Amino acid sequence: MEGEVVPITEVPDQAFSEKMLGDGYAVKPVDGTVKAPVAGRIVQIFPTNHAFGILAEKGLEILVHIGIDTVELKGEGFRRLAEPGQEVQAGTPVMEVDLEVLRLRGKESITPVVVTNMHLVKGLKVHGGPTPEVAAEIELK
Amino acid sequence: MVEAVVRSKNGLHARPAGMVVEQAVRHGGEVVLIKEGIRCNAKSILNIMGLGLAQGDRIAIAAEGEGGLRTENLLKSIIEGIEE
Repeated sequence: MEGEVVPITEVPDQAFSEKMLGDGYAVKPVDGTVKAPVAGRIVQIFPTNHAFGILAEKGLEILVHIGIDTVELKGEGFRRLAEPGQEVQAGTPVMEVDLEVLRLRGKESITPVVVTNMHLVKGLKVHGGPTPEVAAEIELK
Repeated sequence: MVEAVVRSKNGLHARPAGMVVEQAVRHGGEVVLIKEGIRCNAKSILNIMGLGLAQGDRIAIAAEGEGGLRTENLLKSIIEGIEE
């Protein structure tokens, strides 16, 4: 998704800002097309479509969580553009989110992107700023 | 193996899954959650989210090896304690 990349610690949800779910970055989206941040296979799309997971190269698991507390929308405002099991490239559209619905429902649209199996990771460097070409570089153990 | 019932109104989504994993990774042996015969690795957030657990779902928790029953009971209390 297009938008500014900010540190994960700026996410207004402790599960993410305290890295309970893993380390990574967050995007403040300016458009609603959520694209795969990395090549791999979609291993899961949560039934309410607000989050999905990608199994990337070397076994890295990436969780994309669209907005904060958006599980409570029960799918409203989300539309799938891909399905679990599908192979994707970095940039393949996976979900369409109506940012206006999030705004009307009082949900923050900031979208954490985290590696959930950090035990495989040696280093993670985030490149902040408006829509960087590469948002993060990950060095594996 | 112990049984647990999911009580959280939004199912076992990201944050609850993180709480389960946080405990499960402290256990040395394998830890699995089982719903209707489908087994998932309780040490993986994506695996747990993949079960798509909803409020009212009954699952089994199995932790192998030393301290298994203790881990199973801890996870049961975590899973049944999440109401959000």
